[in-house]
Amino acid sequence: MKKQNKGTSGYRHLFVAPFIIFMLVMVVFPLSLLFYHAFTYEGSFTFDHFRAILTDGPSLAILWRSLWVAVLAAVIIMLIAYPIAYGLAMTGFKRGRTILLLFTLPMWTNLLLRSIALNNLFSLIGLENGFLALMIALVMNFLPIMILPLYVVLSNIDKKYIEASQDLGATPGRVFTKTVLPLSVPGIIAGFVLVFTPIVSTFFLSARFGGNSWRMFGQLLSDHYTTRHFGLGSVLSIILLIVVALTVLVLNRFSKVGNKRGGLW
Amino acid sequence: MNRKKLFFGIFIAAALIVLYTPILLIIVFAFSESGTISLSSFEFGFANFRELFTDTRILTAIFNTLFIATVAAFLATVIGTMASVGMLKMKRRAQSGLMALNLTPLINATIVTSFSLVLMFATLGMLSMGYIRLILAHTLVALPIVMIIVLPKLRNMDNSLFDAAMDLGAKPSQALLKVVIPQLMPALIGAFLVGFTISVDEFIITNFNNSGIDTIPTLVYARFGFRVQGVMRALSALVFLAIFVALVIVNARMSRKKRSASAG
Repeated sequence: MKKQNKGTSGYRHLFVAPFIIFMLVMVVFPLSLLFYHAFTYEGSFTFDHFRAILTDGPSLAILWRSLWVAVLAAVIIMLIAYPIAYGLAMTGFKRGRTILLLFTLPMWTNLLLRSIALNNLFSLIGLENGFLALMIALVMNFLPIMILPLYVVLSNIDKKYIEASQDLGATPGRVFTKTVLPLSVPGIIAGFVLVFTPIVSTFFLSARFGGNSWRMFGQLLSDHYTTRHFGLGSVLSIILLIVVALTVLVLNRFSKVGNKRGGLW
Repeated sequence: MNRKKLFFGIFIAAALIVLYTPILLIIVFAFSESGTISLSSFEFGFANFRELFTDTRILTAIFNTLFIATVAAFLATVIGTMASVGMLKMKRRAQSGLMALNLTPLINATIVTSFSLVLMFATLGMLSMGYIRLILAHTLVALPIVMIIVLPKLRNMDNSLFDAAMDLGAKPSQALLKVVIPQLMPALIGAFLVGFTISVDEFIITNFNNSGIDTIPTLVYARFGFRVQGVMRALSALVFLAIFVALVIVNARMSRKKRSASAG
């Protein structure tokens, strides 16, 4: 069987060519340019851009702030998303999937239009731009993304495990902490990773809701783009690449949720 | 047990209300002719919508958005489908390598992708090619999702058909166009629509790679701070309603299909 197909599948592989060419030009080449620009100045090798960023107090402060704001926002989102996903998946709601869809609907509408709406709401209730406004904006924007993987994991937990621990005399609280929670860790990590990168690199939300004292990483990068400081921008991009790579490593290490259930999207 | 359900029901309802309040607010105030948002200054009228349809910059932005999304989603669907067909019979290692390449733009921070694309277009001297730049960038955004949608569908398809067509003397392109594509059509339409939606929504990459071409998101961004928000509210209301209606239709159709499939 395999041998028979060999001749035809040789042609078949050619169908991948446009994809590979496209990705080489649009992904591999641009990413290598980041490294080129980060390590060169007017054509010669240098560490100056790295030195400039890593010794610049304000830049480092923004980098640090972006990281902890993203962690804090992700934790808050998790604390809100978990009960929602748990309620939908575990308490026998009749229209669980429809309600889940209601949560994801706003995600299909434009971030900027939603932000205008939120901005209008804030001005109606008199909330000024700043930390609180930024947090609310982040939570409301990324909540649906967190709910999805949690729902997938929770609804896939075999109810027999829960029944078994109940039969063995566990209180409802212990069933949750000893059975449900450990089994949902892959969903927690997947959700965390899915929201973390976009929050670290956000520049629109922080620009519109944070005000000047809550500038984040994405804005810094955007500034270097506007002022055509390609070297500095490349260094910041590489730092962000490293952060992303680390989160992906964590995701791969602890969870196979992405591979098992392609239905996440 | 019932109390538990009540607790989660209230929590979920509260979350939904909070999530939808701003959207409802903007739709309601799209019909207010007063510039400020407050309950006391609400004046019912269609001035915002009239202004919207006479503002040529907004109309151009709407055209640009739809044009770029159509071309980019089409390109992504074509490239992604071809790649999926080509990948299917490769060794597992080659497949996972290609898939990793495919997922890179999806996993990478969008702002890094944006910045690296600027460097690339600058290096290739393409900075002034407005539409081409945006179409290429949007194709890149839509492509990974297209592959994620098409590849599993292709795996579930009867694979021998392609080979059968080849054995009967079809060229690979014929086998693809006449045998594989017709069977894949529902998945391809789905992939195109998702790619289209993502392109319409895309802001960060567009904002970085924009040389004088407004799309709806970049225009909204440019006008965000201004007092002319009345027009933007009207635009938002229309976009929200259009997307909700589209999604409701798609979902109704899908659940009907599911029901008839499970019945039959």
